[in-house]
Amino acid sequence: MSEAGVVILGNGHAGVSVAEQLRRKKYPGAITLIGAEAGLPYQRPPLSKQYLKGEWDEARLLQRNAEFYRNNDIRLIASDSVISIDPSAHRLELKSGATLPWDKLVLATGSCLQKLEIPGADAEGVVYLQNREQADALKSEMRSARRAVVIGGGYIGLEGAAALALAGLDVTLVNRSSELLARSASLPVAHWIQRRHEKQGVVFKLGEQLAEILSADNRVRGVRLANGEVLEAELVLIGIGVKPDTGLAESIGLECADGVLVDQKGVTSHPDILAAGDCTRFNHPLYGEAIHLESIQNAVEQGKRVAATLMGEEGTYDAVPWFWSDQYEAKLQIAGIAQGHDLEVIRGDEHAERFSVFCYAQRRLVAVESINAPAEHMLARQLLKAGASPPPDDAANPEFNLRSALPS
Amino acid sequence: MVNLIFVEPSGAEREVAAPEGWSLMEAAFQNGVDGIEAECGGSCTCATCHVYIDEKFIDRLEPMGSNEDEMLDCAAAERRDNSRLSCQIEIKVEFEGMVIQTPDTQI
Repeated sequence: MSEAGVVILGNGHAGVSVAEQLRRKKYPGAITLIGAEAGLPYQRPPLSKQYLKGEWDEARLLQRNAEFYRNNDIRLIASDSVISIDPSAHRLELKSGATLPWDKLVLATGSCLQKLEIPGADAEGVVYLQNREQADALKSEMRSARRAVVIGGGYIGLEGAAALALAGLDVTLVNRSSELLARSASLPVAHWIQRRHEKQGVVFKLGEQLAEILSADNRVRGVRLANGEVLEAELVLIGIGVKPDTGLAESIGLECADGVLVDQKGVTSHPDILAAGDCTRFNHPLYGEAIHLESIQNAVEQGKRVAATLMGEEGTYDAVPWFWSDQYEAKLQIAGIAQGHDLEVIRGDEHAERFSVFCYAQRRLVAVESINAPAEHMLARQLLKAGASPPPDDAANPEFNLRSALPS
Repeated sequence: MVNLIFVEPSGAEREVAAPEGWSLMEAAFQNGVDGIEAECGGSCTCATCHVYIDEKFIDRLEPMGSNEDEMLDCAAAERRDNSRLSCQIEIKVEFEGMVIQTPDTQI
């Protein structure tokens, strides 16, 4: 082994997971973790939750403290990014001018933000929420704004709307689809979340398109919808999604399809280049087609798989995907992926404080979405992992013990 | 800062100094203590930060809520009388010197 070791591009949850696991597994070579932002790697989920609400400071947001990287001999390169990779020479070039050799390269580049491209989108007071700098900007805007418009009814838009409403702002959320969480949750869950927001005073404009962001002296003063309606606001938060960051992978000809394609060991189409987290697309044994996930769980678990592969360990990546979102005091947890499901049954009462939705595709359980029912969520993960499908009538019966559907 | 001692699954002891107000899980996680997964980042939704608390200190902890109780039943390792989810325990000065054992498995 040369001194080049493993170089990891991206210091989000996937990148840190790879580095940490390699050291836990006693990887003997050098480990270098490169991040574009200043400072130590930090956690992303609290950006739209505890950090945005001001409950956590920067120190608490960190993934690991400085001592951890020192003690584990993980070299951090911050405020820098890779501008080119030479796969045959096993070298890469940094923006700062330095050149780094590598034995194995890990792409953990995450996602690129989808930017809104309409007139006025660059006005002051128009904010996104993907990194700490943007969260800081949003926090500062929140202090002076009275009215906010949120564009996008996915997790970021909804968690942002919750934080804004709790901070006392008048919030209107505009969503292109007629349902919230259109790509990621069933209707009973989406409707429950909507009602919870409405209770907090959030106003929804669903099935509406944005035409223009209105500004004066380059300072936002509202938005105009395609139907002509004008919503006045001092703050506009945009959460219209992300795309896998495949730029570097494509630049060196790795196979990509809306994500860097990796096999079940996390290896790309180049044997010495691996990838993990939001930037990837891979075949999942539970779902039978190439899937792309944007989640902490996948970033961390796929990172572990990549570390295991780098250590020469056998095995494939088959972790059950799961997601969570905190809005107000409500916990939404999703186990599995509800794509292509043809049957939903509700366990509990969808108008009560807690319930779960069991989603089936051809009578096979593929996902369970839970509101304030963490124990059902945990059991659902075990059921999915075991490939067990309780009959829909049993799942819908709160008296039925879900544990009994697990293989003994 | 409050000094805590985490005992990792290997038996190794890790001394960690953590700020008051953080959770035990955060103290362990930021220092990379082995045996704490904390998959959900501390929202009491995954039971992968399960720990065994020093019997001498157990009375100094706030009693557990119903969510934590429910989640502990889903923990991967054996639930004992001194089992807690470390994300639900806010560090206080009275914890100085507390010993926290991490279980063999969290998943």
